[in-house]
Amino acid sequence: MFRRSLAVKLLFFIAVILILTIGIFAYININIQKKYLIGEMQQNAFLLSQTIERSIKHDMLTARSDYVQRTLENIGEQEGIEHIRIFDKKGKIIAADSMDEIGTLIDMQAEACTTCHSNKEPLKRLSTSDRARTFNLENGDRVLGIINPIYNEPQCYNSACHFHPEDQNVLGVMDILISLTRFDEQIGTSRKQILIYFFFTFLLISGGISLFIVIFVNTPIHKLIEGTRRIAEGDLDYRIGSYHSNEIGELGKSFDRMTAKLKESQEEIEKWNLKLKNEVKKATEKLKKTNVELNGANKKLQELDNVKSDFMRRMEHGSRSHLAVIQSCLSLVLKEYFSELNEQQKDLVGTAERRCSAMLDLLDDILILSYRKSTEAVYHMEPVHMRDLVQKVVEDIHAQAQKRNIKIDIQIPSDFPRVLADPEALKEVFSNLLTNAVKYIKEHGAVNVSAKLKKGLIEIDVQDTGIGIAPEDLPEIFSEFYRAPNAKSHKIEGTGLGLAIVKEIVEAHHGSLKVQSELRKGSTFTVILPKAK
Amino acid sequence: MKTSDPKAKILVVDDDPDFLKVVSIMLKSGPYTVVTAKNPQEGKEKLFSEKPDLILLDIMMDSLFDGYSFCNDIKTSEEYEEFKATPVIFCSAVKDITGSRFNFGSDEQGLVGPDDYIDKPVQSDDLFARIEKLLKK
Repeated sequence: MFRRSLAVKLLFFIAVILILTIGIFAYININIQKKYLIGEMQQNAFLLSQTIERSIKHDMLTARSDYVQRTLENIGEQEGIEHIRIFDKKGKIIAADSMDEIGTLIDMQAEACTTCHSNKEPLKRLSTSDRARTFNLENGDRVLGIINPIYNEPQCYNSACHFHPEDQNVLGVMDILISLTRFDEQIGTSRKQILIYFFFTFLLISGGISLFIVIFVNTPIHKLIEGTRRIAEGDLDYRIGSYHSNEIGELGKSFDRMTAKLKESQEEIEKWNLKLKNEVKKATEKLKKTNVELNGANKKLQELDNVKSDFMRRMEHGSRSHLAVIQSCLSLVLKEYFSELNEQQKDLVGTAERRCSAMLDLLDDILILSYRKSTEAVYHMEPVHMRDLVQKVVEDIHAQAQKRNIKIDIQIPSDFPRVLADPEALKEVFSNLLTNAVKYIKEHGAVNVSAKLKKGLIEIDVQDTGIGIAPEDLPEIFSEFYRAPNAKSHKIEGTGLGLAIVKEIVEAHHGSLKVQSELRKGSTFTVILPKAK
Repeated sequence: MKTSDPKAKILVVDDDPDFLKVVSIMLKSGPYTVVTAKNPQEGKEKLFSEKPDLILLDIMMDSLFDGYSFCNDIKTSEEYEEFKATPVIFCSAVKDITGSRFNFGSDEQGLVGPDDYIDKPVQSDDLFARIEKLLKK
């Protein structure tokens, strides 16, 4: 964690850059200083050698070598001057700051001489830096040596001693060795100072930057990090608080604003949540209450339903028991079992019997319809052979049809696919449709029952040549108690419930009904039912 | 109408005296002799004393179940062993198609039902046809 910290990385980076730049700078600086100082030293040494040359010139011309010797000794005693020597052309020391060396011959191939004497023909002029050399003495002291050639002048070859011939160019060389001990000490001190300076600069700069980073970057960023952590934990009351006037400060301000907004939103949401909870609670309580009430009502309804069913049963039993006895009595009288009736008696008893039968039919239809419409209605679905079913229904109404000369033709093949239906309920459907078909044919007509398979459904047509239904009456014929005006005008009796029962049962089978009709031509009722698998 | 010789004896059990009267006249107009009973108890007595050829039984008498249980007894109980084969026709003012009778469907109650049903009011032709059909068996 610590190693990955941005501040540490930044500090490390800055330190490396500082060490590199200051180090290079210090190195260059020390070298320049060294070079400059060496140059100065060389210049001084050269000036010194010129001065010595001038001061001994007269003595040399006058061949006062003892004077020369003394001057050299005096100068040689000066601090910092290691050695002063004058060589003649062949390398023999002719004068020096110490008497011992006079007369000795130095090796011309020695280092100090090679600058000029490495070539066959000696060089005549050298630059100041070429004449200088630094080397270590036997005692280890570092010295700067500078050679100064002494050139032939008219004063020299015209001198009374005639020592130097005129054609000689360089008469000899003065060699001065200057101690570099002090110089080296100074350079060392200077290097030390620069290193100290460098060190303190490094400390100051890195310290300053560290402080800056800690105050203006690290601390605020840590505060921000802490803030995000706290908010992530859900503490929306946390604020960064103090900001610097910079980008990070702005970030902190934005952060606080964001947190405040978040808190507002959260409070709003909590408020809504609470409201919602209360609403839900209220609604739930209401629902519970309603549920209890509903349960009560349901129970009551069930009780009422049972009472109703029981009532219906008893009513049915009671009514039909009375009507049955009346009907039977009347039919027995009408059959003239005991005595013959006159025409008027026959008409009256016949009317009574007819109305009694109508009353029984109405009662039946009301009860059937109310049962089919009730939740108690039960359908036992099974595959049903339509031909067999229609055959049975036709047998029931056969006598009625025969009496009125009506032919009923069943055109359903015996191997026709079966429908999925409750056979008892379906019998009721076709009983109604076929009774109607027969009933509404005035006389001498035909009823056709046919079936076809269409789109996986079975369509059964009951076609008659009856009085037909007016187009405006068609939409109403399935309504309870509706009877078409032409049915009434033809004095055909009916309860007005037959087709309502048919519709109720067909719809309970997820089937549908179609009617096509033309007045005075006949009607076709189509029952569409699902095919049995 | 050709029937068994002598005339078949029909036991009619119904709590409605008027119905008993009418149905008796109706049956007597045909080739039958008639014995009547006003309730299952009397029906039982008459059954043992008269040994009818066929029973015409009302479903709903004092209780909604009277007809069913009486029929079931005749068909299954050891007490009625000798009458097990006697045909029973239910005769009721409660029609099957109205759903009312269905609630007491013999199958669902585990009871043995009758040999045939006939709805009130009974028509003589219909009644005679059904009786003959069962007597021939």
